[in-house]
Amino acid sequence: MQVQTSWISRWAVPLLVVAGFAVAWAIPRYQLINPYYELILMYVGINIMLTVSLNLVNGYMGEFSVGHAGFMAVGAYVASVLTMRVIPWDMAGYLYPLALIGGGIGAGVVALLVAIPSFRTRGDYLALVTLALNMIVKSVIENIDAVGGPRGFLVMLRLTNLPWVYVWVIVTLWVIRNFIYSNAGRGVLAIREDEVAAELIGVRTREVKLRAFIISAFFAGVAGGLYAHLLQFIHPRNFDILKSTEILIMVYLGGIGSMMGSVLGASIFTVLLEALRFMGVWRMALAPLLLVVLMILRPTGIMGLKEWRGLIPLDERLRLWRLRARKGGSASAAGN
Amino acid sequence: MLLEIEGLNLRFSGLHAVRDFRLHVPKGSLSGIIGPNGAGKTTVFNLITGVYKPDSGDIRLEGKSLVGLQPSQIVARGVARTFQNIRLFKDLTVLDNVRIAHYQTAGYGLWPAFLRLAGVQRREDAITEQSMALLEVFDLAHLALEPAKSLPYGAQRKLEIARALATKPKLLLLDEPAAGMNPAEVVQLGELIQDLRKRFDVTVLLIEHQMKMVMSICERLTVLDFGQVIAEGVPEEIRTNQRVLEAYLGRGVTLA
Amino acid sequence: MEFWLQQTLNALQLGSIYALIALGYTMVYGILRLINFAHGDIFMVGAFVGLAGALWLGLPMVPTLLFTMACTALLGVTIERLAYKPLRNAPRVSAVITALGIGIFLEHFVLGTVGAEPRAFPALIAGGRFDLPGGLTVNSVQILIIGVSVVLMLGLDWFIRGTLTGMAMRAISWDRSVVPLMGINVDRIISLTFAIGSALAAAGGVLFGQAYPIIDPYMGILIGWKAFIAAVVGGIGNIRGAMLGGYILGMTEIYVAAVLPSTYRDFVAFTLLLLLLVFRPTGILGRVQAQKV
Repeated sequence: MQVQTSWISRWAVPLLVVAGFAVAWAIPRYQLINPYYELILMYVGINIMLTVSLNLVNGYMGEFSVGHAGFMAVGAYVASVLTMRVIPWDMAGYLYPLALIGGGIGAGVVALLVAIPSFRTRGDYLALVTLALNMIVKSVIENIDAVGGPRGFLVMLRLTNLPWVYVWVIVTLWVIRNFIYSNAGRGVLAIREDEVAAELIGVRTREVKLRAFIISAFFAGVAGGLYAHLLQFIHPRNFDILKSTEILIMVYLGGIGSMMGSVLGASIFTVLLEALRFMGVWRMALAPLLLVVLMILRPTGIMGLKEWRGLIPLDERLRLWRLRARKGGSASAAGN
Repeated sequence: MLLEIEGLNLRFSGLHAVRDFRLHVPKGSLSGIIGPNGAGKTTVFNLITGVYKPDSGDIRLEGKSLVGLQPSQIVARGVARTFQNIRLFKDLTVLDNVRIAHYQTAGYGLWPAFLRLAGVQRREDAITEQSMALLEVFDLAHLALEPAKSLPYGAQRKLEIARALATKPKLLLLDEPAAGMNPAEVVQLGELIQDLRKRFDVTVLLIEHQMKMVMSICERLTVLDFGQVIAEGVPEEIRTNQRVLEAYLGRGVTLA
Repeated sequence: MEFWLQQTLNALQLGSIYALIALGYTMVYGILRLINFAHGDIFMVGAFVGLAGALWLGLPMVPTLLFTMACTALLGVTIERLAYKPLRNAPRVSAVITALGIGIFLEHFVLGTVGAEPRAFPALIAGGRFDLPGGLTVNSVQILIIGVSVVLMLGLDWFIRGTLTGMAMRAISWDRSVVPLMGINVDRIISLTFAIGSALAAAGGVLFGQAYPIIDPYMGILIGWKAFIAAVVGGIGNIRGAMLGGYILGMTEIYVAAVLPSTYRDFVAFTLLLLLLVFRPTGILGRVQAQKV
């Protein structure tokens, strides 16, 4: 079939990604912007990873996980232990991605503790399981003396920089996008819409949930690792319910079931909080009020189940585009 | 025999919902289960599809027991169903409703999906084409990109059947497919079901209240009352069966 | 044995406070199916209003309690009217997120107003220790907390089961769609629910101030979450379940802290919760919802 898509729609997104990397690489290399802004950009990136990964479970699958910071904590501590204790110091710079992946895998393993109860429980009760898990993770870390327990853990290597954050944000978006627009991803949507019907038309819902929870936790874990090697000092309190709440707010601010929504939600929330810094403690009183107003005016968040075209895989975009074209051309053929 | 059910029992805390139920469905047949409201018809479907586990008895598809399997495993064995109260994925497109049903036959794994390899894209092309072909059969292709909830009621019922067929079943269970349809639509539906049976080489078992349709299209009928089989046979036998008349007339329903 | 009985007394004291807060969670959940995540912070506000009443107005115990309950009830109803009511027909999760936002707002509003440093709550009743048979001692604060809580809970139980309004509340939590047909003003009942829930949490705040006399703006977070857990353990939506859950959680925490280092307290409590939810997902007194196909 003839496909008349312009050169722009085919290459715009890859070009944007490459250009973005060039900028992310150039900023620290040539000190293009104030280091403070650079830091905020890195936080934005880490928050995008957390938000998109939570959106997979809360937005696309329709569960209500409230303990995402727990997975972040596991990733942060595992990755930090790897770079500080396991990997030789002179190698740490090169093996940093492996340490982050190790943190992600650690978080993925812990996700089993949520995924398995989710076979039987849903909704508010599952929310509670995730909440309990967040508290348990924090409590366990506080009781492990080898990583500083309640005193916190010093991560001496500042391995996180803007290019790394950028690469991981792109990897997160790319992998989660590919997952959502795949067979398994349709299973995720089916679970949100009607779990019983999904199982009864052949979706192995347990398998789907397991995968979604693990993928979600994996990227939260990687984000935690990046966070640890940016902050250079991690503390169980960094990963408490308040942090989970922040991630939740970014997800619902941006809108469920939309990766673009999560990118916007994370960016706006992070930048806004920084912009309001002059207000001191009052910024944290004002910011939630803004959220409440937004929720009342627009209960589904900024994007709310809508997706920016550029975040839909090209082949799927073309497929739907062809169908739309066919529909226009063959209205008479559909009569029989 | 495609489906054999023997001595099936299910109790819900005191209520004996299904009692010594038996049913033999020959391959390629079009059979019906009828009976008054609350007779346990949908419960039988729920037992076959694994929503409920029977207290005793056996359900065999092509000689192999289905008891104890997860519903999705039963789908993989070749049983698909629709629902009495439509259970489409309302916010998803008509196309996606059908594509989701390809879950077990998609033919690619998680890692290729992560990388969206060329093979994945080709399989997605094929799944989409198959889904569209199925939607053509049901005259729904022109609505493929609309959300399922925007469809009129009759079209939603048809979409449910299309979705079930997308799993490539050997046995199709239809739970009151004509419910809520007007008489003209019911006639069309009857023709469609007979057509589907041939076109997709599928055995059909349906639950229905529209007696006219049941009597005209089904080859065999099983009548349930209070969870028990009270009659079995070809439509003519059922029409004149005394126990069936009693079960129905007691509730003020006449057989057409 | 004596040691354990003494611990039980401590557990009853802690459990009473959890139970008072858990009631607000469970009542609101029962009626709106909303997890009111701001509720822990309502408890915190209650503690600070009580502090204001005792310190600035110089009120004694009972007036402080009543003053606090009234003010906080008003706050609860105001929040419901301004923030939750507009969302009643929105996706359920929007209201939950709003509740999270309100909670953060309350924390930082109090933080901005009174400052971050913890405040000492003045003792409002004379201290005293009383010997019980079996070598146990009970102090006046324990008597106060357990006594006031039990009175409030008995009152609530009577209200829910014995009055027409209480019956309307139960009817709404059973099936909200039919209730307006019976001529019940749903909005009024919902407001009343928030008022009662907030008042009980406020009472919990004042009592907490008597038992653990250091309060700060973030105190509501962990205690609130734990009270929520108590509500779920009992079976959320169930009033008596919330009371039971509060005491179960109190006992678990105190007993664990008695035998293990106190840092394990949260770990054990939450692990027990996790196990309970895995094996009995509807809590102890919760209704099992049949799966309908």
